[in-house]
Amino acid sequence: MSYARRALAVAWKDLAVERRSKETLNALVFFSLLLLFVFQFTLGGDRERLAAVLPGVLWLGFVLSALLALGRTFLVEREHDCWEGLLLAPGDKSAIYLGKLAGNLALMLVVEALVLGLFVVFFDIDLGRALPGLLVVVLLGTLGLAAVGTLFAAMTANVRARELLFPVLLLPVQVPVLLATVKATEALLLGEPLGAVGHWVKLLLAADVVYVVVSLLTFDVVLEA
Amino acid sequence: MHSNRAWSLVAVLVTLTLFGGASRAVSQAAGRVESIPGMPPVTNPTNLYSETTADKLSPALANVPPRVYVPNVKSHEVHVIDPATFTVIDRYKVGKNPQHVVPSWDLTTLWVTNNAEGRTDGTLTPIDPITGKPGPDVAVDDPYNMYFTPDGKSAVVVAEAMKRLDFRDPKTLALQGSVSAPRCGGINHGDYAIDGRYLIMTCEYASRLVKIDWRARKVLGYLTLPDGGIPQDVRVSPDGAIFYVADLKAGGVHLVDGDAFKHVGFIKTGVGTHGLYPSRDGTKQGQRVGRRLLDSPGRRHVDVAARRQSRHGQSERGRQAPVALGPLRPRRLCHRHVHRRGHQDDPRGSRAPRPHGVAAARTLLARPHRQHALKGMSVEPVVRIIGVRKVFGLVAVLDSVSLDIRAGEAVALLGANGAGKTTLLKILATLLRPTRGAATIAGHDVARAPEAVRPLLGVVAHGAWVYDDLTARENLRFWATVGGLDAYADDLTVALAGVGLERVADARVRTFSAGMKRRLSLARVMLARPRVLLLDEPFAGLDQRARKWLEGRLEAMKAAGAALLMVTHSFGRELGIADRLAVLAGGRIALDTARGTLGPDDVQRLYAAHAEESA
Repeated sequence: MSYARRALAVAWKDLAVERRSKETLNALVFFSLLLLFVFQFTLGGDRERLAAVLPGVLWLGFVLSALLALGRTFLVEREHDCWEGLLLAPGDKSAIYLGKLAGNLALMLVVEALVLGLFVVFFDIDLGRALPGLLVVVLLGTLGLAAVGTLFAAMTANVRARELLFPVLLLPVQVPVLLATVKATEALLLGEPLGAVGHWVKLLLAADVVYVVVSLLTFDVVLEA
Repeated sequence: MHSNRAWSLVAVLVTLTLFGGASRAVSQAAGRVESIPGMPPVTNPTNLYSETTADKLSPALANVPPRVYVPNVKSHEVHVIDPATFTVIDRYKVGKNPQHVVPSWDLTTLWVTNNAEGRTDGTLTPIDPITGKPGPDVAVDDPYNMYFTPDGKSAVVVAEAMKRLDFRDPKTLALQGSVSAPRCGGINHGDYAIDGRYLIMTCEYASRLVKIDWRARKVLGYLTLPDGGIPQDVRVSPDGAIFYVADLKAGGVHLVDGDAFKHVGFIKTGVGTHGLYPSRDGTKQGQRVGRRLLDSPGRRHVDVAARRQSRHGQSERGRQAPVALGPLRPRRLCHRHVHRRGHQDDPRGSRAPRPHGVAAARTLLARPHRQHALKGMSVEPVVRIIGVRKVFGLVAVLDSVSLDIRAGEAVALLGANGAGKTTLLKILATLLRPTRGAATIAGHDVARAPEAVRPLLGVVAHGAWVYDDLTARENLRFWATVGGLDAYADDLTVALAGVGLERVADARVRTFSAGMKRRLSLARVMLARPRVLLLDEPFAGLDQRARKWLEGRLEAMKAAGAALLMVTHSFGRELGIADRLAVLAGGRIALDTARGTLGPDDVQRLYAAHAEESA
């Protein structure tokens, strides 16, 4: 019970700080808008070309936003000298990881929902039947991104050039997730049912389980290192 | 028809309630107290201590030789002193960490409460007061203290760590039932109402009192004391109208209306107010205060009729003595009832002179104060640093540093920039591992068992560890939850009040000054009540008022038994609370000396002689 309470406290704290300061949220929304403008101007109105690149464009937007959001995961602790406080908290540190993961997941999903809405408006897409399947894929893909991203953010929180190191570490590990999400999104946008992309969904599920379990097991070591 | 019945029932209930309340009032007005069944009567309603005077001791003590039994929490022994010769005439091993020696309700046994701190093998050791010898231990849960119910039908074992009272058979100690008081951290001392209906206990670590209906075995309520106090002893007034609660931190005695369970007043007495002892005639209440004041001497008296302090300090030494040394109301509440029981059984009643027995009764008063007095006098260091070396790259920042700090002791660690002060602090805080050597806190190695050390630590670092976008209360709640503490809303209020931030409790920390953030950081530490406090430049950035305030808080924490290590490179106010000064220079402890009467100039000269020479 104490474990869950501690995890919830960390998630609540991150979300409360973000809700009041809106530092990350404002930056992410602005960044996403810029990204969509750039893509809109680049791709123009060619529907055929658009259909081919849309899944990649969507996930590029998600991944770049995630890199910005996840990179700041422990920044609030560094800015307020609270890092040592978390280190000295007695008990299983993986509760802190779970709390941070939940906070990141919530923030990323809010931004992604916004990006997806703007995506529909900018590119005049009818999600219609694809939406439920797309939500599943986005949820699983975001969990995979957030799981490893939260761990790597802790690893790089106290190193120099962490802004450089963080994406360099994160993106190679995310290859299975990116591959599965882009392929599944492509199929769903083409009107295929979720069952048709079952193998990609299974890959996403497996990747998520592995990422979360490994992160939970190693977070204590990462934090103490 | 049903409506008429219901109204009749209500009328009967109201009448009974009014009658019940009225009958109690009438009884008291008529000069008698309606005590609960089985409890000996209150002979004098204006002075319930009337039967504890020199000539009224129970005949059960006739063959008991006068002895003082002193439990030694560290050596796990009881020492037996002959008060006639002031010599230790016997000593023997009892269970782990004996805390108190408590007479049974019938005065035939003395029980030593061995709570085995931090372990699960607590015991009670019986001592025969006639032979003075111990019997075989009886295993019970967490026996920090012990009382008896006013009717003598139960022994009440205070399981402090478990926040619980266990009611046990007074002979066999078989468990009869329990009352949990989950919001009463540090439940340890108590007193019954004059009629025995309820019990009020102090919650030392939660700054509150708990009122317990011991017959129904349920908690009736909690009362939070103002300003985050540290309640110690509690004692009912001679007329039973008020409970006196000694507050170590507030330096005085709270007045609490036990029936209404309301705080009704406060009497300032002095720093470290701890024990309460009524005078022989029940007109004065003496308070035992902290170690330092006891030496000089530390007794204050409260006029129980006027409910104010009546005498003060050293100049009154001669006049105080009779009050403090009189045949005190025996330490444990059970004694009060023991004496009354003696009355009932003895047809000679109060007129039977038994001076020998009075001395014997006094022997029953021996009682240690684990948290404070004993910690204050502790010999075993809580913090032990042995030959610690720390190397960063090729640079040895610390080289063979050794230092001990005892409970209730404050050490100021002085040193120039880069001397390694913060590094040493971080090693103790389990944030850095020593390259060589070892450091232990309460026996736990900081490098090998950091998880055992961390719950014992309170760290006030350079940064305040507060989130600007949370309120002060939210910050405290967050750290309490992450630290695994059960912090209730009023715990947070008490902690914030203790640092003077109760008015801005719901304001965002972003609007706070550096000093206010430092106070909030202190509140976080106080909430956890650590055994060891590590402070990195605690007075930095504070104005004069805040410095004075912080000094008082640190003194209170020291008096409460915490060990303090303050890292500093100033010679200012913080030195006032330090018992010892250590100078770190050249990676070693260049000087480790008692502060004594050294002033800032003396310290500066010593510092120059040791730190600058070594540099």
